[in-house]
Amino acid sequence: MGDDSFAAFYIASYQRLLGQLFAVTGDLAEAENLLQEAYARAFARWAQVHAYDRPEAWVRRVALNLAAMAARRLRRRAAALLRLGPPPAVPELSPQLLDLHQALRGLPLGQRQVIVLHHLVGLPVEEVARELGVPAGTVKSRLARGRGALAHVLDIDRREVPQG
Amino acid sequence: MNDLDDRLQRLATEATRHVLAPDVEVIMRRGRRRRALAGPVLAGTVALAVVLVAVVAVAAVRGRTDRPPVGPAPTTAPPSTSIPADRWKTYTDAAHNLRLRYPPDWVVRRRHQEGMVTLAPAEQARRMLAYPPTFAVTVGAGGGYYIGEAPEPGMTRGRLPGGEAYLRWESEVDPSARPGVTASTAPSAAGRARVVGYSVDWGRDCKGVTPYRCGPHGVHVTIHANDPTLWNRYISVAEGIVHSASPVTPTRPSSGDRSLPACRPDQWRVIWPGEHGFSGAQRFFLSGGVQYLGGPRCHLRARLELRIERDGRRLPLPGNPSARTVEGDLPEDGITKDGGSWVMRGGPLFWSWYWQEWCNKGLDGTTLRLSAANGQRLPIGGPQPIKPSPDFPACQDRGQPSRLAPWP
Repeated sequence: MGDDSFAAFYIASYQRLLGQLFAVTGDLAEAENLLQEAYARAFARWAQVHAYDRPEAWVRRVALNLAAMAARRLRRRAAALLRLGPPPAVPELSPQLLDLHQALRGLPLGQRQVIVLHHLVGLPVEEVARELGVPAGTVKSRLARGRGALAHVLDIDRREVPQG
Repeated sequence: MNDLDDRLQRLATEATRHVLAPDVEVIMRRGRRRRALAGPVLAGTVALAVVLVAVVAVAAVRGRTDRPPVGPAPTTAPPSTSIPADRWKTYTDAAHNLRLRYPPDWVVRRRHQEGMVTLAPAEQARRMLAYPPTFAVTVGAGGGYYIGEAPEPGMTRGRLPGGEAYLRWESEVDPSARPGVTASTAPSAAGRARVVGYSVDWGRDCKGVTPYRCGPHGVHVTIHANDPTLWNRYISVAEGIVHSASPVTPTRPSSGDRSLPACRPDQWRVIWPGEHGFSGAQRFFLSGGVQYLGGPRCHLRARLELRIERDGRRLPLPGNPSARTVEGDLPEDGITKDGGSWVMRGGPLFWSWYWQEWCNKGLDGTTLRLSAANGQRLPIGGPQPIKPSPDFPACQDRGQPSRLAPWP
């Protein structure tokens, strides 16, 4: 165990986690920065992280936390601040996906996080709550609000929030 | 599969399909450096603190009141710092009801987000096309209500020359947390970016960003400096730009129309939609709104009181009970449901409190109760500890007083 196992884990999970982080941050360069920092932290304590059931969840959680800290520093409420610096690094996307990307960026970070964890990663509400360290009720309300906001823009299904 | 699941999956895949993972050696090197730094960092922090205290003491003894410049000072003052404000240009965005003034040698660029504009010194003009400017003032107009959800330590209040109330805060940013900038594992304090944020009460009009066009709006400003030299050179100009901001057409007060009939007690009730969080592990934060129940359009000015109790008795803590007044119009400022959930858009009837040091010894088993002027009593569950982890530390009794306060 050690460098080899970390390298295998890194190669197997990088692309997947990057996609998830991009959906949360809306900025590819930022997603890469956050993810690389999270992997570096994982490697720094790999003996411990490797023993976890899901090291990938640990890395994702650290990266999400870093994203939240960055956003908090720049003031969560003032969306202007979150977008203060450069225009986001957006890869080439089809018009439909570009709409989704823009709509996601319009959501508060907390709503983006739960939408990505629930709809993209596929975690149930309770696990999303555990991963983000918030009550399940908060996850449900954020999911409902996030989906409601996306539905306005994207004409998507606005189904009820799952109860568990 | 749900349509949203599918679209998100395609977004994540398409966006990253051309991205190659950096060589794992690079990541491991960074991890090793982090591991190596972990030991000495405490000793380093203590040493740094000692040095800082010494520096501050020496400065105090010398009676210095000005801040020493950090980094090389410009040999000549840049033009924008010396052009009198009465010769500044005017920027107008009538669609979002914003007007501001800026030095004639600064560059202005509208951003792709609706209602947003960035202003930067002339030396940034070329850079702004492809890279983030190293010093910039970014102004977003027509956004939601100016008071948000999360309390920020060190936040201050003030008013622009036109009387608009604002919240202001300052923070330092690790450059590695900003997009487009190479990450650093140990950025020096001198290399940190500095950010000033303003959130300004812009009053009520119908010129905001879609879809919430009519109602109370905010103007959000960020002043961003990549390093202390730029900060020292341009901060006073940037603050001047912020303080020149004014609405193009006058707006009505965010607190609503006092000429409307007063709301009757049966026309409204307070709602706590379960919204709470931890702004830092030590601070429990909760917020809610006021629901419109029916009747003619009316103006509400109501006193709310939050009280921390155990077994129905008030706990003797500073600030407990804590009162605040909310004022706005119903039904337009009321909290509404969307998709089965309460939607907290913020607004003058939005209320928030925070409970600092909520986990001190002897404070377990508490509940909170919100009382409103219409006789309503709303019980609210006390904070529940979150399972700690290396990255989410638990709240601890730090020996500091526990207190309750409205926010902001």
